[in-house]
Amino acid sequence: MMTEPLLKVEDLRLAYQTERGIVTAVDGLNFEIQRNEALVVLGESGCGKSSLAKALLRVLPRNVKHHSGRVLLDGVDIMPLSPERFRREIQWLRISLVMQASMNALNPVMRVGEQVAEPLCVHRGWSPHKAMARAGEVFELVGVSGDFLRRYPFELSGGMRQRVVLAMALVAEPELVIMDEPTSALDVLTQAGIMNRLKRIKRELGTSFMLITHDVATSSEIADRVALMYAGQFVELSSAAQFFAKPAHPYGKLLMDSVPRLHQTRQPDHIPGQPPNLMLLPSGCRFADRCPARFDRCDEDPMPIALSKRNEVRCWLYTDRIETGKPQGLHNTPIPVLETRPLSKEVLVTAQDLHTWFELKQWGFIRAGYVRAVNGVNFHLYRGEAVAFVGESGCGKSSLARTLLGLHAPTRGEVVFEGRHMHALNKHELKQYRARVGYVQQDPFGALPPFMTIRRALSEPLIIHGVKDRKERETRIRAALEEVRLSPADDYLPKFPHMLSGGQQQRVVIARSLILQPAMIIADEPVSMLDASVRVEILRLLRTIQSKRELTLAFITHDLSTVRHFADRIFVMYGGRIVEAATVDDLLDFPQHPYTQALLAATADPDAKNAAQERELPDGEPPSLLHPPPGCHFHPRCPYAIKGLCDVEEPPEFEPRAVHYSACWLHKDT
Amino acid sequence: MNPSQNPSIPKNAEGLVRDLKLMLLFTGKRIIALALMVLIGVYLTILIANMGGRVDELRLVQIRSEISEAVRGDLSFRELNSDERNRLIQRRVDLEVQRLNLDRPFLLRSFNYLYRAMLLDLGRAEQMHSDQGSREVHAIILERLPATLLLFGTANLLIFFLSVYIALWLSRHYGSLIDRIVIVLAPTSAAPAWFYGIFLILFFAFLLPILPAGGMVEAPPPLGRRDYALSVLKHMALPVLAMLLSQIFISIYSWRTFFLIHSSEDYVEMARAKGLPSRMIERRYILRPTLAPVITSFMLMLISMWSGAIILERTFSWPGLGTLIFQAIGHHDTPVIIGSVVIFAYLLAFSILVLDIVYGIVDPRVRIGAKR
Repeated sequence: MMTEPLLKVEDLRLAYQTERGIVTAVDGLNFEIQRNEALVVLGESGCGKSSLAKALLRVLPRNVKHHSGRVLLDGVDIMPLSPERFRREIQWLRISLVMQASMNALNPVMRVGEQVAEPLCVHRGWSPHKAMARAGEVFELVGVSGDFLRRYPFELSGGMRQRVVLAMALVAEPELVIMDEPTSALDVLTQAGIMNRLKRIKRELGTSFMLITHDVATSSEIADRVALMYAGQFVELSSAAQFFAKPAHPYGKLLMDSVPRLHQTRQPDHIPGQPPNLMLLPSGCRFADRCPARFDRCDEDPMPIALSKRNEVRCWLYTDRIETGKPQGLHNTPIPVLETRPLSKEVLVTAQDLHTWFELKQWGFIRAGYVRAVNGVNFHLYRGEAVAFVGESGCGKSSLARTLLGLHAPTRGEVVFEGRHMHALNKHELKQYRARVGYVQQDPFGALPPFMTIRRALSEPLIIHGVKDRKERETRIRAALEEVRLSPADDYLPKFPHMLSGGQQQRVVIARSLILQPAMIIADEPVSMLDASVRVEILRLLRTIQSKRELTLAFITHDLSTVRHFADRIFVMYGGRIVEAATVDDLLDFPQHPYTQALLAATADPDAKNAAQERELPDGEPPSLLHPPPGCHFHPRCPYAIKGLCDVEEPPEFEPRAVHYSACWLHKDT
Repeated sequence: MNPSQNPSIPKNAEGLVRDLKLMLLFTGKRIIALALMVLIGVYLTILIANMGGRVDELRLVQIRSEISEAVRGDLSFRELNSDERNRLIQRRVDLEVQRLNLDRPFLLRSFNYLYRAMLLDLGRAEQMHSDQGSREVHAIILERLPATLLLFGTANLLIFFLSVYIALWLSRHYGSLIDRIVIVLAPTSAAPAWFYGIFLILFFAFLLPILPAGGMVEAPPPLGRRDYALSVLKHMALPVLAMLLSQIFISIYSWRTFFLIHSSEDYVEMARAKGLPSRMIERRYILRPTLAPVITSFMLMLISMWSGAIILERTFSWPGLGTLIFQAIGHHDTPVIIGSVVIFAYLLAFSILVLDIVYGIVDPRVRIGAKR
């Protein structure tokens, strides 16, 4: 390629001054982005990838200590420009930004159309009317109806807000759009829908993208090239085809192995250790501590080594360009295969026609309607099995968990646990019941009282349930910590939650849920707040404990790709109901319900080929639980909906395959 | 994304028209709620000022003794025997009781009071009278009201705009010397305005006599309009300053912290990335979204200010409602007390209503949330 690259970055550096020291977030980056090319910057949280976006767009916090390098946009260095000229000439007109999907990326008190049109009025001096017309055009481009121009952000769903943020980035037709985790807070279907749009926009407008993310699978949807970032540096810069097939750097290899995949029987593995603190960077290779292929030379700082014309890697293994391209000493460590037990047939929990509705009040006392969070759910959970409840946000899966825990009283129907009806339990029996069911929450930091040491947090359930002997408590606490592999226990017991990492906090939460010897554990999105590299670790831990203790594990998640290795059966939930239930392999390989099929189609395994095609997705949004559509809740979005049947009558459960249930009229004849 | 699939979002409603409608609805609801609030407050005052009906018994005894005194002292009734005299007294007492409606149950009368109070028919004062000699409570209060409104209106507006402006400036110069001084001074707001008033009078009226110690205007009021206004302004300076001193540091401090927290919101960062000028970011992205909570805290401040008015006006002998209540309490003049409280209740409700409407204007979530 002889043309000038759109963006050429040379030796970009950014450091912050904090109370505890200097944080080197971006440490000498060199890279190029060609026109109409998408560069994905892949890295764990805290590797400096968000700082890279800030450094390029000069959205810097007050405490910046050092910001240097050359940033050539179309061959012209934009770093020496004065802040005022940079603001007027570069920001948004030539480089724009899409922030992480959240309510907060949009001003809550301004109409979304105004916010999208604003840069045109400010930078180009357009009249508000003309700018609004243009905002309407980009709205169409990202797939939001122009009717929403005059709405406020809180009136839009999460997916729509993220599309608006995308529209905002495209409004001035910039040459480069930087996206910082644009889809990571969104549901699977919404996420896939936005990636589809991005592909189309890239093809039609010829815009260049820089996508910053930790999510390997999503990144493969659009990547032309991949930059792997670790501790402020790029350790590998490759074409997407090269990277997703065979990453060169040991970190890349481990990262690829840690991604849970839908269509792979090999268990994902986690990366041991933690990324270095950006305040105290080790000398030599920054990955050396976690690297399985470490050797003497790793104490020296590695140079970027060119593997081919545009691919380079920062690793001493490639000093003499080993022919195979495969680093020495790096091989697949054999992963212990968990023995799968035959399912016991002893039923532990039964839910019968379970409904949990929440009343909405108007004026404080008039009933305005019900939120039908759980709306007629039936299932059996057997002793010693792991079950995943999968669904998008707002499908009622968390309410179901809370109902099973006895935190919400069911509106109708009942839960039977070990043969006893839960609604018939008195106060004392309910307390005993709660000791038999452990709860692992989503946010480990929020789940642990910040003012309690780990010892107190763990001894509390024991005290409540009448373990009076201090010695016995201590031994049980230590045993629980041992079981979640926090050892030596003495290191952790006197600590407060904020002193632990997210993964360690979640281990404490798991220990707490185990300490009363429960028969069942309910884990509500146990890993969604954790870093990608820790997720697999925690899931494996849960799975190991579950199978060792023969616990029933109800595992609630929105991420289908994680369930294959960590559950025996899957329940797919939609609009407060279970639409499909089957064993993991059967469900993933032969999905029956159209919604499950859509979910699976939207879930990507990392593969460079993803970028070439758009995914088939159903239109529309998940149903409102306040006014669910009549009949099958999925029928407004279903491509196979049968008029006069699906929109009228609620489908019962059919069994199209052995022990595989689907609540869909398509399977009526089975 | 077809909007028709989501029933909670109306189609084709133009933003402004819809907002206007919602705003009207919202205002209507607030007026009803506040009227109820005033009603309850005034009724409670009536109950308390009448000690739940106990005052009536006292008045009955008082009426009887006054009348029997009058009858016994009247020479023309000398020749009546005691029986006839007693009958006469009883007849007169009955007449008086009837005139004052004391024969009807207190509960009924209390509602009658309430009805009249709500219509601002506040009755006649027992002891006090207005400067023009009227005994109508309504006239007495109306005479004093403008003075109070002038003083508190000026002080509150000044505090609000000064603090917002300074707080914004400080949030930009976070960590500067002035910022730190304000932080140190914030706890001084623990003392009420009249406390500062005493010291201000001491310093500026006696030690360094440049401003008057009290009153609203010079003793013979100046004749020219300009001179009169100037004189009032001079008299206002100290009480306004006292209120300013007691409120401004805490509000600057809390709002500056507020702006600071909100200036690290994602949308502010986004606005910076968009390359908007910093003034615009400050106005649209920091001030506008935070205005609603800022107004809330101002509202709370206002309420506590109204209740401190009595002592502050007393300290500066400001001829306002506060002083009036103080005097009425001294004279045990129940109608005036009730009347002033009613007016205070109305003032408070009115200020809350104004702020509520402002709230609805600045925060779309408030007015759009109102439709549910």
